[in-house]
Formats: sequence, C-alpha cells, structure tokens
Amino acid sequence: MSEPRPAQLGFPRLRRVDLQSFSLYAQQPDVSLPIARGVTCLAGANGIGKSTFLSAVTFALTGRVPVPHRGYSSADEYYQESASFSSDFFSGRIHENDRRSSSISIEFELRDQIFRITRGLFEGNGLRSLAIRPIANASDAGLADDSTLSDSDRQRVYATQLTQAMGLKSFDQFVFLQHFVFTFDESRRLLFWNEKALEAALFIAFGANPEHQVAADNSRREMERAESLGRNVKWQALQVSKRIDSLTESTRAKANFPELEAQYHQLEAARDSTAHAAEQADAKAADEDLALANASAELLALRSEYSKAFAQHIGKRSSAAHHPLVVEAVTEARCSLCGVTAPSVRDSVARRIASHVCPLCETPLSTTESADIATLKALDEQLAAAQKRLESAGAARSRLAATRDQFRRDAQAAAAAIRAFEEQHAEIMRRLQSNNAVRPEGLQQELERLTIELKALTQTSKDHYQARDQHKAVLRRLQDELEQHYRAAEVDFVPIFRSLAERFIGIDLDIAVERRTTGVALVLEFRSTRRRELYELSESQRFFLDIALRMALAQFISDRAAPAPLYIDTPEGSLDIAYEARAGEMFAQFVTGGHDILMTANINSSQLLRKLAGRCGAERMKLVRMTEWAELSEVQVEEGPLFQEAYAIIEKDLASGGS
Amino acid sequence: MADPESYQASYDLLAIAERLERVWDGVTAAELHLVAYVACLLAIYRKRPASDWGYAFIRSPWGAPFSPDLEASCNALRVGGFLDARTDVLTTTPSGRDFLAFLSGGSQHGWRTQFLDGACSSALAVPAGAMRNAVQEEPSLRRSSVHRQPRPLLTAGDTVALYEQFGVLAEVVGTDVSDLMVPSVVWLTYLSEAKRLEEQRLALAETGSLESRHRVD
Repeated sequence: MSEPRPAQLGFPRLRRVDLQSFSLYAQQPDVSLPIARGVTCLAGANGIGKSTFLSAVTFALTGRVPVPHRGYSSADEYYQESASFSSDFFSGRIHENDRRSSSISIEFELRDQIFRITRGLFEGNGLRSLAIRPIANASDAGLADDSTLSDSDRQRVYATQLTQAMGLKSFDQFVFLQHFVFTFDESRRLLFWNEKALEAALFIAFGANPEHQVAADNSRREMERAESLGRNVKWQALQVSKRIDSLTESTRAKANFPELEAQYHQLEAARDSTAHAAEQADAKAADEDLALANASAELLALRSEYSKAFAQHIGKRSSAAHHPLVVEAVTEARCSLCGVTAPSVRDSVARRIASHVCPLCETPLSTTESADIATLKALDEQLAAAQKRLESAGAARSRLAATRDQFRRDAQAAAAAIRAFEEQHAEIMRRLQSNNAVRPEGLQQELERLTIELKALTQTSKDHYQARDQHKAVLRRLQDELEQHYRAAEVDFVPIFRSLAERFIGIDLDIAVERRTTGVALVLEFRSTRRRELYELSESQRFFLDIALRMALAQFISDRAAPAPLYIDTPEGSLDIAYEARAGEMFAQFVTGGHDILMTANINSSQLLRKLAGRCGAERMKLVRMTEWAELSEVQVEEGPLFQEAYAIIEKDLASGGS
Repeated sequence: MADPESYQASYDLLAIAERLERVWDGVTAAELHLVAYVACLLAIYRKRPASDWGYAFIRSPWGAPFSPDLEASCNALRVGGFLDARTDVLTTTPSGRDFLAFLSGGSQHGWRTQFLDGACSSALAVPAGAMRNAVQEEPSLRRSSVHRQPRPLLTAGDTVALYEQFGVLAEVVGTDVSDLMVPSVVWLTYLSEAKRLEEQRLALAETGSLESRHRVD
C-alpha cells in the first residue's frame, strides 16, 4: 500500500530584480525590473546578454550559476562543486572596476513571506543584505535583517528560512531543483535523458518526503564509493598475487642465481658502456654544433662586409674614363653636351683623363677605385674559405649526428634489455637492490607474508562489495517505494504532462515509469512505441517535451499558493512556424494554471511569442525591450527598424490578446 | 623595404643586361624583372629554396613579377655609371662590364650563372610577350592574381604546387639535362599552351551557353 501524496512545496515568485553596476548592459547598468504575474519575456538581439540575465537571477536565488554540461551525482556535491564556476562566471561580463560595486537584488514572495536579498556578483557564499517580512506587513520595519551578521551568516539564515518555507529538506535540494528542473538554459541540459537528475527530481516530487531524495543520494554515493574501494582493493590484491607468482618463480630460480647475477652484471656493463659512448657522442656533436654555428656567423659577417664594400663600390662614380659621355667623346670625337664633333674634342677629353682630372670641371679624380676592388676581392676569397669551413662543419655534424643516434639506439636497447631482465626476475632484483645480496632463505618468509596480505586484501575487497550491496539494497528499497508512489500519483500527474505535451506535439503520447538497473526513469511513448534514446526524437521535439515535463512537475509539486515558476532561455530554437505556435499554446496553458515564466527570446516575429502574447494578453504577459539595455553591434544598429517592427507586432498582439 | 645593397640583385642585373644586349639593343626594366624571376624559378627547379636566391619578388597592382631589390639596385647601378639608361632601355657601360667580369671571377656569384644563362637563353628563344604571358600562369603568380593588395611570390605555400609541376617537367625532359634552357622553354611552352586551351574552353562554353539561350528565346 503506497503512502499518501507528499505535502506540496512552495516556490519563490519573483516580484522585482535590480541590477547594480552590471556593466554588460552598457546603456543601462542599473536595471530595475518589476516582475508581474504570468510571463515576463526579455526580448533582445543576439549577444546582448539575455542568457546572462537569467543566470544572474538564478545566481541571486541560489548563489550558484548553472554549470553547463555538468552531470548530476548528488545535490550536495553539485552545490559544492559548482562554487568555483559561479565565482568566476561574471568575470569578463562585468568590468574590472565594477567588481566590488556590482550586485543583484531580488525580491520574491514565498507563501506568506517576502524575501529581499542582495548578492555581490562575485560572492556566491554570502549575502550583502537580507530582509524577510510577512506579506501582511506593508513596510520593512522590524525585518529580520541584522547588520551585525556577516555575509556568510546572512546566507546561512537565508538558506534555512527559504528551505523551511519551501518545505524542502536542504538548501542543496532547492539549488538542484532550480538548476536542473525549473531552469531550461542555453546549455540545453535535458531532464528526460539525465537518469540521475530525473530520479532525484522524482524523489522530491513523488517520494514520501523530500528526505528520501537525500537518503537516495547518500545511498547512491556510498554504494559508488564502496564499489570504487572494492575495485581498488581488488586491484591491490591482484598486484600481490602477481608478486607471489614472481616470488615463486624466483624461488625456483634460486638454484641458478649466480648465473643470473652474472648475466645481470653483463647487461649492466653493456648499458653503462653504451650510455657512456652516447654521452661522448653527444658532447662531440655539441662541439660540432658550435663549430657550425661559428662558421655560419663568420659567413654572415663576411657577407655583410662584402655587401657594404659592394655598395660602396657601386655608390661611387665609376671611372671617368668609362663614363658613357667620355667614351662617346673619345671614340666618336663628339661632345654630347654642346654637340660639336671634332678631333680636338677627343684630344682635350683624353688629355684630362690622362691627367686624372674631370674633363668637365677639372676636379682631381679619385684613385681609390682599385682599392675598393681589392677589398672586394679579398673579401671574396675570405668568403670562399668560410663557405668551405661551413660545408666541412656541416658534413662533420651530419656524420657525428648519425654516430650519436646509433649510440643512443644502442643505449636504449641495453636499457630495454635490463628492464626485461628485471621484470622477468623481479624478486631477485628487489633483493639485489635492497641488500645487494640475495638471501634465498628469506624468500619463503616473504612468500608467507604476501600470502597473508593477499588473504586480508581479498577479505577487505569482499567487505567493500558487501557494503556496496547493502547500500544498493537500501537504494533499491527507496526506488521501489518511489516507483509505488509514482504509480499511485500517475492518475494525477500523467494527465498534466499529457495535456501540456500534446498541446505542443499534437499527437497521442504517453509517459510511463520504467525500472532500470540504474534506477527509476520516465520514458516517452508515441503511438505505443517507447522512445528511450535521444536520437529517436528530433532536437526541437526533445527540447519542448522536456520543457513540458518540467512544467508538469512544477504543477504537480506546487502548493497552489506558491506555484513554481519556470526560467526559460531562448526556447524558439529551430521550430517551424506551426510548432512555434503550438509551443506558445503550451506556455500559455502553463501560465493560465497560475504559474509564472521568466523567459528570454530573440526578438523576431516568431509564432511562439505571438501566440503566447495573443493568449496571455497584456494582463498576463510583459515584454521587456532588452535592446535598450546593451550596446548593439553595427549590423544590429543598421537594421534597428526591423527590431522596432518586431516589438510592435508582439506588443499589438499583447494589446489585443488575453481574455 | 628594398635593400639597395643586395649584391645578388646587382650582379643579376648586370649579368642579364650584358647577356641580352648581345642580341637585343638593350633590355627594359620589366624584362629584367621577368628574366630574373625565371632564373629564380630555375633555381627552385634545381631544388634550391627560394629564400637562397638573395632577394624576393612580389606581385603588385602595377606589374608582376617585381623585385624591390632589383629596382633599388638598378637605380644604384645607373647612378654609379654601371648601367646606361639614356632611353627606356638599359645597357651596360664599360664600367659595368668590367665590374661584371670581376664579379664573375669571384666565389659569390658563380652558382647563379647556370640559372641566369637558362633564363636569358629562354628569353631569346621565346618571344617576350609569350614569355610574360606564360610566367603569369606559373602557380605562385596565378594564385596571387586574385588579390588586390601586393602579395609576396614564391612563398613556402606556393612552392608545393610549383614542385608538383617541376616533378612532371623533370620526368618529361629528364633530370640529367645540364642546360637549363631545355626545361625552361618546355615549361614556358606548357604554361602558354595550358592558358590557350583554357581560354579556348571558356570561349566554347560561352558560345554554347549563348546558343542554348538563343534556342530558349
């Protein structure tokens, strides 16, 4: 006989979100957003921080930011291990100068109380302020906030009060529900296909009380721990067993020990000599490397000198006797300047050239050209010699490198031979290394000691496996009980889920509980076929059926006075317009049932938003223009009128929609 | 930035001008850059890395191949009286020829002679326009032609495709050919022919599409 349905839980309903110095929203870093009942949809452009807003709200509530792609093991482990991710999540989103001043404040009601908290964006384990008052009180006078409390004390008080008001066993459970069940964020973590997380959610929703979820988490953890210990000890036992085998082998080998010892010493000598030869070859190769580098440097320096001498030579006026004007005057007796052609032209120019003066201005001519050429010639010879040295050093280096590589291979082979010997005669080696002498009489004693150790390890391993089986049995009992409770509650739960899911998918479907070796799971059925695997549904079907499950769980476990809201990040995905409209219908149905949705969406005239707006109307849905918060990209600014047009369409649907 | 002290560029300029002016009246600056580029390609054909050549080439919007080092050296040699450029063609002066003879006897430039000889012989064997058109089809220049900005030529990435073509070329002409004019002319002819066939194919495709358009009309 199953127990009655557990007491229903209350959930925080947001009334207001205030961001201070939230520098990601450059145009409006101090955001103040009242949250109305029904849907609050923050619509904006790509990349302006829609997902970050939802993460910030979740962080305010829980002190943690959902860790993408992190599996679930247990609620307390998740809470501990998500701390470091959360502490750094806002780096890069918040300017360095705003780290201290940035904070988020939220106000929410929970049953008959109002909570108001402020949390620094880099302070997941503390609260800067906390105020709790009954809803009936109009003012904050006499609130629970105590300025004498430290930030971490405030967090402790908050966690205790919140957990108690919700009806949960621990704050970790709230964090788990908020991150895994009621938030559908950009990492698209799916509940249906995450067996451990789904089972934990089912324990909270259908278990006799929330403690069963903690007990199941503990049993599972202890079971896994005992299994791991059992495996480790079994491995140790295997090593001892191998050692016993080796020792037994050594005992047999003790007769020919002197021979083995001699063999080992031979191998050692070979290893040492090859290692020494390899070291020497290394040193020689290093010397030759240096010689090569030196020859390279010499060549480079000489080339540079050659290049300078070359430039100096061609930079000077060439020999006047070779100048084209002079050549023309001497060979053709013609002056290119005045055009006169006469033998006197040739004679006059030739005479001046012979006197080493310029035929045009009579300035004495430089006679250093031959010196430049001599320098170039000398450098050329030095370069040729340096090139030979470089080639020679290169050849020597190649030869030595080949020799060195051969020695290295020999040394490696010798070392490998030693290792093989040591593995084959492990016990003898151990004794050789510890005492530098083998005492075969001690082998038997060691064998006996190891046999005792093996026996103890085998027993310990058995104990661990026994403990594992005990924890498994406890978990099984809890799972049996959960299955019973679920079956008892099916009559209420399944219609809730089916109604939401069919609203979206439009075909008959069912949901059934299934016992697997890993635990209790829910499985979808379409047209009498169970779809257990991810690939059996399209991506968008998976997303929205998962959202339907979350909505159904929210409806099922909520106290009507404090219904669980859903936090949904850009759900539109890749749906066609028909399914977009159906998804809008599903969301509207959830809201009509008294729940809130805080969601983000890319601003476009998608049917999801339009249908939702049409069904909810302005009374139950509020559209927030997020494009006014952050700086837009050039493309977004250029196409700004398109955003305005899309906002206008949805706002028109809101105005004409609802009851 | 061009290096006016690039002695390899200066040597190549003098060597190319001196070889070509034996047959032609002189050589234009564009021809100098083109022949020097072919010489560099021949060095790559002989498995020398392009970086050993001593100066680099680029494709610029104003012409290709172009070497800033060659240009700077050309100016320096003209100012120094080693090259004469009283018209738009360059010729070597007696000083230039003396200096070239001196350099050719040294140790620093001898290895380039076979490549410069091969390129100059090709320039004399293949009409200048055909040679320029053919070189535009070589992989490095062809790839760079899609860019509007100046691009370095014969980079490591380009030479892979070049080696593929040179591999085929070596199979055709044999690897023991000592005169590089043979593979050079075969290769330039192949590039030129490949371009002609491609143009023919495009023209046929265009005609075909026009005809089918007429039929539809």
